[in-house]
Amino acid sequence: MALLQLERVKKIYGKGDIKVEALRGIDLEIGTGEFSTVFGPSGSGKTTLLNLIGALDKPTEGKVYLNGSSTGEMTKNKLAMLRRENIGFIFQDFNLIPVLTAFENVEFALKIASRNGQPSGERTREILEMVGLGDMMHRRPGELSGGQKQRVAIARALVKAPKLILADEPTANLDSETSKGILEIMGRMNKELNTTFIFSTHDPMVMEYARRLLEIRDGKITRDERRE
Amino acid sequence: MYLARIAFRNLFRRRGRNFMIAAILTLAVLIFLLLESFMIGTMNMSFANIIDFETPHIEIGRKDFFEEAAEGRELPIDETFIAGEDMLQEVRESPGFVALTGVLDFNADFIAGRHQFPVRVRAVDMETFGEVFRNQEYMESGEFIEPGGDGVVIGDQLARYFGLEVGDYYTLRFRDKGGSFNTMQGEVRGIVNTPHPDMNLGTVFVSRDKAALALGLEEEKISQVMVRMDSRDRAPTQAERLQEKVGAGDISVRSYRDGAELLVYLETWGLTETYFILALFLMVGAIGIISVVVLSGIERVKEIGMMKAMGLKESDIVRVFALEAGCIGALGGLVGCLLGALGNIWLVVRGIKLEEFFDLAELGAPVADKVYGTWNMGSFFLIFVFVIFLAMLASLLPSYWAARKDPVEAIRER
Amino acid sequence: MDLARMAWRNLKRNKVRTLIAILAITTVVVIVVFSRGLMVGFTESTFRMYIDNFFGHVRITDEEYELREALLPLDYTLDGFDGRGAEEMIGEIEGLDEVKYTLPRIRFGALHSRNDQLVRMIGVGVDIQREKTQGGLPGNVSQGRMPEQENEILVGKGLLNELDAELDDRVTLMFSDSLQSLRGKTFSIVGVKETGVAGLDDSFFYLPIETARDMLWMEDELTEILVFATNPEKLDNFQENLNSFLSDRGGDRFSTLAWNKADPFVEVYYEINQIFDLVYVLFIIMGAAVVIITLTMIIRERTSEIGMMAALGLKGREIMKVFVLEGTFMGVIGSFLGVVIGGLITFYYSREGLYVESFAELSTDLELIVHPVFYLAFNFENLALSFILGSLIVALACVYPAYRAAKMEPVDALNYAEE
Repeated sequence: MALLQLERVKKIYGKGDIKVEALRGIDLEIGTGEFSTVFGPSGSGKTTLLNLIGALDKPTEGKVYLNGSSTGEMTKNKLAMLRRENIGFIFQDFNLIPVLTAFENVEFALKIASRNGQPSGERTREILEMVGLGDMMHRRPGELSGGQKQRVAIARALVKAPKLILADEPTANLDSETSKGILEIMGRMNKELNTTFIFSTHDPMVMEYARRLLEIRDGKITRDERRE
Repeated sequence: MYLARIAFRNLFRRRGRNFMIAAILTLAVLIFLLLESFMIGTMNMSFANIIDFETPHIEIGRKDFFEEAAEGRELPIDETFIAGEDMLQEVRESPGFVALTGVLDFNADFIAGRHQFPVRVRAVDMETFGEVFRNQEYMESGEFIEPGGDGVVIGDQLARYFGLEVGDYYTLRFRDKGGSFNTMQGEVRGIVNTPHPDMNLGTVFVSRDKAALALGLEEEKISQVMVRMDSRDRAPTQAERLQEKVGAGDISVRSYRDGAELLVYLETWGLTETYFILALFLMVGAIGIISVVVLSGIERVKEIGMMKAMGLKESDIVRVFALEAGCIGALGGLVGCLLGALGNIWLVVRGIKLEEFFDLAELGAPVADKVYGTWNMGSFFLIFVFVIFLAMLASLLPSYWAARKDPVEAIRER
Repeated sequence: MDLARMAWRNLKRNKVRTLIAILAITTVVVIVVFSRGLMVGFTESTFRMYIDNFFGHVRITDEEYELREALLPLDYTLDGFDGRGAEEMIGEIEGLDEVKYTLPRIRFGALHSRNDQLVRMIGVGVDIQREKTQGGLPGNVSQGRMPEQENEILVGKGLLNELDAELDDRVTLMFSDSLQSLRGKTFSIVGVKETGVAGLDDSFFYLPIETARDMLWMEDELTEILVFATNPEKLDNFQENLNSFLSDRGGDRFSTLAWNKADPFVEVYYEINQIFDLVYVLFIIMGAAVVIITLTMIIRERTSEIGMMAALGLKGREIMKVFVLEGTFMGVIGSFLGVVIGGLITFYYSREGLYVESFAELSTDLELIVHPVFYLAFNFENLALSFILGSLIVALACVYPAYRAAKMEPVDALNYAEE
């Protein structure tokens, strides 16, 4: 079975009369090692889709299989465990924990994921060096630039070697030069570690980096093309 | 480990507000500690006065004598007894024994001039009285009782009411063993002014041999054996032990606490009041903690969302907030205990002159002069732990509220 | 735009936060309303007892009597100015403008012998007519009626038990008359007095003053006159005027005692009340601290909004006003809720009474002149005062954070970034 499989997934928000159908039946399969982008205008449902894939939310109808198990039937704690072990997140506004240094932010993520307290310092340093922050790892987020913060976020997502990394508009708050750098790092990690990446964007420049392009409009996938 | 680190560093993010709430808790702890120290100090002093001047650590008498006395009736002359040598020997061999003396208490009307006043007469054995009681150290004028003499020693307040001085004449009118009225007459031999206000008005001292004669009792009859011990803590257990050894038949052995029901009530009431005040302060402190957690929850909505996305459970988030609240509690408790200790040094060393505030003595509590605080290490420890516990408890509901927020909405909230 | 309306709408932006701040004020105001109700109820009912039963507002006695009161002497009586009788003296005192009415009394010690036990008590000769029209005595009669005939007495509930007697029983009492001879007289118990206060119910009985005079061999004399003022608030003044009146009329040996100086217990409660006034303010300040931290957070959160307002030309004073108003609204709503909830609680306990066991035991044992059940004072003044105190202190507390908001430079405020 593929790493990720969606079957006739619908997501409806709201209660009573006011209902918004954010996703209207999505079928999708993503395998290990893919580097895909979900592309579409704002309000098209791409964030909702990413949330469902990331086990942050459950579908209203249909099934989401992550690593073979369906998220719909899981308790909150089960979902938390699933995320902890399998998924890394990267957000548009970084969402680093401001009271922890770059190093601690990354190590914290690793500690959450690893059940027994195996030594984590070495691994953390390694990852931070890979994203090019070797000399700034003891700064707090407040002392880092936007691009640096996002690199910490990438390191944080990568450190526990998850099967899947989800990035929601990772470059929206960055200038184009920095954005390029971030995407190059993500691409390199995808190749070197064979980690599956899915990121959403509305920026055509960013789109170019993806090897699979999923376009979403009005809650439906309207285009799915692969390229090299 | 990381949760604790995050909680600890979060404390310093909004220093001002955390300090403000900690200050409320500090105030609660400080006020509680000082009030309690003062309260217990007052009680200790009251008990000390009772022991030194009225009823020492242990008293032995007939059950009915104590019962009638407790009900406020006339002290029964029939309920006196002769203390056997084996009983006294047993008492003397008790651990912590210091001294004993026999007294004979009865009611009488004190008459002088055209006035009379109901008093309790304490007939004492001069050979041993001074080893147990300290009344004779507080003579204002004249001398204490002389064996076989007619003289009485009265309190300075009684003397003032009657306008009496040493050498003036008095009459004591009472009923003897047969129930008929009898009197004792003589001169006022001394006037005493003790720190125990009760003893300065309603108690008159006479010599025991004279009193026994006038009451028509055998010379050795006494109403109570009064025993002085070396420490107050030992008294209740030794009283219990002696009850078993010598309390045969209708003899009852009591510690100073059994006799001072009023003080025990006063103690309970004082503590109730202190705890009530503490509860009110802590209630405000708890609301402060709740508000801090709610405000932090609102501020850190995205952070919480991110932590949940990373796979932290709701209980982990609650733990972070509870730890933070616990730290605020610990800070408040610690500063409160430190300030409390400083304040208490002042209370213990310098004491409070009660009259500067109000005249407790005239309320009937055996307190005069200065009240000194006490050290209750247990209270310091307990209040410190309790404040931390309370802070964490108060944080649970709001932190659960914060942790339950949907991570999806939380992350995207702007 | 109207600044007040803006502040009001801002309140609704984060409802949980606003709610918590309001809740904090509500709690402290409830505490203040409750404790004030408790204290005022306790002191007032206690003071009432002292005034009605022992002192009036000012009590007149012979100065020697005052010195030896505990002995209940009959040697130092009020026999009028220059010995012309108490009747005339009362008439003159009641003629004074400041005097509302007086209650003349004779107190004496009495005994009853039962099963070889002596029961000691205090007899109070009272002017039945005056007590009925003005005094508080008839209000405390729980069974039977006030004494009318010369051999009738009204007995305290606890004393009745001590005497092992019931209503309509006859009881013989012994007493020393003013010539110091021991005498006896038989009375019938026509009424039972019950105040719930052990110190009063356990030792007093009441009889017509004419009977008391007769049996004690007294003439137109009294042991004391309780004087009630038309304006009890100005007690010091009243006592002074009474003093100068007495000495003008040649009554130098008559001494006056204001009720609030008569018993150290009353003074203690006076002072405790004053200390508590500070404690109330302290509590509200603690509640206001929560409003301050909330407001500080709000201001931090709206930094760019403040910059915008400043850029639009709003003056510092006006920005300050918005925030002070926002905090004040919280204070006013919180105080209002606190007064409503606290009012309901005090109202309930003003009817039902609050029973605290350890205190009840204490007051019975100490024979304190206080009621063992606390009846809280429920009055408008308490509620209004608590409301004003709550609103005012919170409003004042908001000034500092609002001032800091107003002081921000527009440019800095606009560029302000979190962390």
